[in-house]
Amino acid sequence: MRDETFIRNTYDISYVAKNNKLSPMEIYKLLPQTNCKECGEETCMAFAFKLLNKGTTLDKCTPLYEEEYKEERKELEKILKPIMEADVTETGLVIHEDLCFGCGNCVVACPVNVAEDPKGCAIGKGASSDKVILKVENGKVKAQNIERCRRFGEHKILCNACITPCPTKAIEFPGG
Amino acid sequence: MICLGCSCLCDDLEFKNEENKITVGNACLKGFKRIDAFNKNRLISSINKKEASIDDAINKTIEILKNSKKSAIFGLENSVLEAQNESIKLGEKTGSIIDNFSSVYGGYLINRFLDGSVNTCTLDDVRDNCDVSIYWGCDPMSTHPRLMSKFSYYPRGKNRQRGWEEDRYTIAIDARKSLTANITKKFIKVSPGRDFELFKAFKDVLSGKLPKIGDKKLLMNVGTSIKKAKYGVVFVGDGLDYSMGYMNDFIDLINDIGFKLQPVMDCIGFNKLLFERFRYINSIDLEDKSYAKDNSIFNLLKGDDIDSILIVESDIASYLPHKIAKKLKDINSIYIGPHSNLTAYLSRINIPSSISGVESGGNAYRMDLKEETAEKVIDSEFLSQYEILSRIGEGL
Repeated sequence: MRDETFIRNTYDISYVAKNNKLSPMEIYKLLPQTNCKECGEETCMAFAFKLLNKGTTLDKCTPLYEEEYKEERKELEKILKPIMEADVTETGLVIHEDLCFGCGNCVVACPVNVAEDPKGCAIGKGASSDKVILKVENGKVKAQNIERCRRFGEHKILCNACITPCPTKAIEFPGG
Repeated sequence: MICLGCSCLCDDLEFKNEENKITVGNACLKGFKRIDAFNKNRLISSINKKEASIDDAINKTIEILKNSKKSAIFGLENSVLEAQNESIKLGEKTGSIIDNFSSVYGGYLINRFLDGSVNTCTLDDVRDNCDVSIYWGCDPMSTHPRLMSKFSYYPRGKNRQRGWEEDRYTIAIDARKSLTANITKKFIKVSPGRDFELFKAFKDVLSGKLPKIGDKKLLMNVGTSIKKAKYGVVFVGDGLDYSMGYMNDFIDLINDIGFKLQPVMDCIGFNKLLFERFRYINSIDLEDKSYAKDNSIFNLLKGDDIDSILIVESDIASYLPHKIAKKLKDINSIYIGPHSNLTAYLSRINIPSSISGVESGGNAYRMDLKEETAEKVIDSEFLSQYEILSRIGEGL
């Protein structure tokens, strides 16, 4: 049940982000760009990334609420509103179900799938273990066990093993 | 279960049927829709557009085949080997012409593939050893969606442990940027009908000369990687067959450079059966067991040689030009198949059958001629194609 809601919500977010042409750069342009570190991040750019992936909220940036940045704040609140209204996602993995046709390239290419299922996914067969992240079901790829993804948690890396082999660009991580 | 959706014959499908809601794990969309369509758009048995029982339809078919001067049997690409064998028996009884889809495209290549003059290998060998694969005139991402993920590009093999990023190199050659070309490492665009010139340029590159046409840097680059290849495979599809036709030189070059050739086409099983019996793969007159180009479906419907045709699970009308497809209305045409389509609409008699591999079992060949056995997973009231064809045979 949890997986279904997860995919539906992520789909909504990407749709919103795509429609509004939101990118971390757009958000960064409206931030103070002083790297004051009051929000807890190293740079303003890092804060912008976190905002887009919903890892933080806008009120953490205290300088933005001063009189000087009044107009920028209003603009930011406006463009971030549709994203903030959608539910929080953990890694930002988005699967466009209308584009996916279940070829299974991502299932075989994902390094976590290969490590978890060396006799199945690693040699091209379908997933035979429950611990895998991506699995094809009813002709569409489904995400599960998202906490095992290399993009999740404290020591995350920008892995793109499931994006490059997709012929229709059905998998994406909005915001990089 | 085994999927008979395309000639990949994936054997790792997980089928669950709970309260008439079907879930199929690991199958691509093409395979899943074939299984899921068991209660959608089914054919209704009819004679001259009026509903009739299956027994009546079969009896009427027997009557037509008995009275016809010359009949033809077409199709069976999507059927199992048992039904295909039965159709050959039926054809021998009535002395009909037997033909299949390979007379429309791909016939020459499949013929060379089956007579053993082509250097070839199994798909499991491809997974274990292949380091350079070329997709020429084919788009497996659209036609055989799991070919690249299951065999040729992404999986780790016995001698290719580091996977696709380091160990494998892929080249797509096509007239447009297809879905396959989106994910291969190199893409060479070729104008429609110019494949032979590109092939000549490749021949120059491989013999150490500069190519005369095309992007010279790209061709030299690709040529170097072909020379370095330890185990190369060329996947060939309909696109090359359309533009080159008789590809003797092409096959000779591939044999010379030590590459393997694998046609990415369906209907190889039926062609193999016919080849083993008659040494031809299509357009065979079973009366004197001879081959003639006039016996292909296109020429048969163009001329007036036949007065009845039996089509088994093949939507040929949607591939032929309108004028020729309309001919199906004028002759006694019988359609046997699970679903309703344009060919069924044009035919006079419709006999519904079960879906092979889903509602009835049987054997089938994978594209590299490995035999697999499919099992029945859903119960149904429909007769299998084998039963229908054998009942018609008994009636004769």
